[in-house]
Amino acid sequence: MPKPFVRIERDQTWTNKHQNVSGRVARYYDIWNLWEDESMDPIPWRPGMAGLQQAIRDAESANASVRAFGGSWSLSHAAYCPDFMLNTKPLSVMDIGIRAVNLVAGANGDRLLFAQCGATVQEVNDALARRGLALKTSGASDGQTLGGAISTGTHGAANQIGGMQDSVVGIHLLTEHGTPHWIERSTQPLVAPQFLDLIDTPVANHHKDDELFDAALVAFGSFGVIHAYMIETEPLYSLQAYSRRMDYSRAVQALATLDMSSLNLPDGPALPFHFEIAFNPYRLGAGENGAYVRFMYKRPGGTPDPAIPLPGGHRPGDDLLGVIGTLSDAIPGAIPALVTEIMNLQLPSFEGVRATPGYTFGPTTIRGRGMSTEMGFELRYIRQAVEIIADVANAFPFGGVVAVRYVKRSRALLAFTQYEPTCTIEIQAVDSERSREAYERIWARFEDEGIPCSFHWGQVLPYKPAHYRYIYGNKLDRWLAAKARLLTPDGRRLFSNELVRGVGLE
Amino acid sequence: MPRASGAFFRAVTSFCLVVSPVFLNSGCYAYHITANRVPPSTEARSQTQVAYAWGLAQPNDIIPPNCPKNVPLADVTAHTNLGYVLVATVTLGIVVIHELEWRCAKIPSVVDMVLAPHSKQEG
Repeated sequence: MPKPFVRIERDQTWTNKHQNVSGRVARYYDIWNLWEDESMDPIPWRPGMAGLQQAIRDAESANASVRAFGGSWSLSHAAYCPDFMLNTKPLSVMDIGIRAVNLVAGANGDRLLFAQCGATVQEVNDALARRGLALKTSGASDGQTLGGAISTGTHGAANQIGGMQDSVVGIHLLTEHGTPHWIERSTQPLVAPQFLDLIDTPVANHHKDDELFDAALVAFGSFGVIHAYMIETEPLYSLQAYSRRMDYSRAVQALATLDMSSLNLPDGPALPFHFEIAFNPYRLGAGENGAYVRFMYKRPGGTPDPAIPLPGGHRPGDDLLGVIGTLSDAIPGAIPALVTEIMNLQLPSFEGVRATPGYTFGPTTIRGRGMSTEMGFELRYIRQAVEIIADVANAFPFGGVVAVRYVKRSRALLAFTQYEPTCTIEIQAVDSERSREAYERIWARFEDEGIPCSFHWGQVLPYKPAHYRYIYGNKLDRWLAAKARLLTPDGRRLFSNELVRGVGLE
Repeated sequence: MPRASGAFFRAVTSFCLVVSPVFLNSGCYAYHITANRVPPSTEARSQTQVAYAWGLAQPNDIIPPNCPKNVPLADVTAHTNLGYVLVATVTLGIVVIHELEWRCAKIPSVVDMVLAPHSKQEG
């Protein structure tokens, strides 16, 4: 086999998309689907897979740890390690619709997507839409790669679907020495030996194992380097979206019970396909219009692509969030007015805007330093949790906004969407000491008041192993046991990093 | 008078305390060109470029060393900052500095080559 084309840089600085995680990297790899002479292969993912395998072996030779990253979207240390970092963004080969010969008898491949880890949600949306298909769900924007989004448990607000990981039916994973494994559920057997040949995976490494699959699905890089996924898709649909502003008191019934009757929605009191509420924590009083209710109905068929924006005009500068963060530390009294102004600008009201998921959850236009934490709760705690956050914000103002979404429980052992349904609260904030301190205070209040919550692995979270053991219980032990079946102790260190150690999962 | 002077100094100090972090964090002007729905495949890499004599001598073209052959760019950002603006002003435009940043695009779309029903896979 020829050598893969990789570009290696030494002693680089790596920074995530939101600029709240940064550090030196001893060896940084760009890995491409090309051979050393820059030629492609008839099996287009082979060079990229070989590049990942080479990088894993290089890391083992150097007694270093290794981490693959994609869109750099995670706000936690999920993607970072100081030793070897592998940029997987160039790896985005996709096959849509899988021939019967590659699948077990009876499996229908018409709506299956085989995609390398570096394909971004945007690329996947565009490729699927051309075939009249769509992802079942995604996050709120589309810059993440599949590898990062799925392995951290990224979700939207599709309350009957779950997170992105819940559409995955097969995982192609590279472990110690670059050894390839195909993992699928025993209860949903999928691929035939011919497919394993095409992904250079020995039959002995074909795992039909529910427990291993559910463990490896959300493992944020600690089971090895994900090379590709098989994902179930569905016929292309569009989302008819509404955004309405109202007082907190009017939204609170829907918030706490998912009873929509007080909201007077266009399709009646049924729970819409997508339902979320953003709050201005400084404006929860009567007449302050502090709740932004956003809901979407799923409609069959696509819609034409929207027009490209015309050139001209101005937008917030790349440094603006950083400046606001610094100013908010210096003059906290200005924060409530600032947050109100930002929410008014960023969350306009609209009625019945229809677009495909690829355009509804399009690219984020915000650049600059930000941070975010996200927690998962049982429905019965959600009102108390929101009001605790507002309490902390009013006592100790910080530049953050609060959004609540509802997600179906995941089968993945360590998906943070653990509850049925999981009510997620995301607190996006400017990156500042004050925001960090506010997060700490909020987490402490939840603990003091006995409100259990899980944490999104791709967002800012506390390093308290006991907390995760309490939340996940037996599932955490099962996850560790599955990892131990697949990796030796050396392998577990190879694919570990600060996050994995910090939450007690090495 | 001393009282007025104290108030003045307090006002200046307060102004500096509030405004200086702005300049410490900012002072960078950015201009982006982003291809329409073309995701980047690399992290941003940059070079600082200097043009002289009102543009009569300009730097050589950058051929991004981190993009493989035939792989285009996904986006380009031109940066300048207060220091560079000052240099251009003091030298009356004889020395003008910009930082140029780019990210490579992906290898042109590779979709449905092997597994899909109309691909070339044998069998």
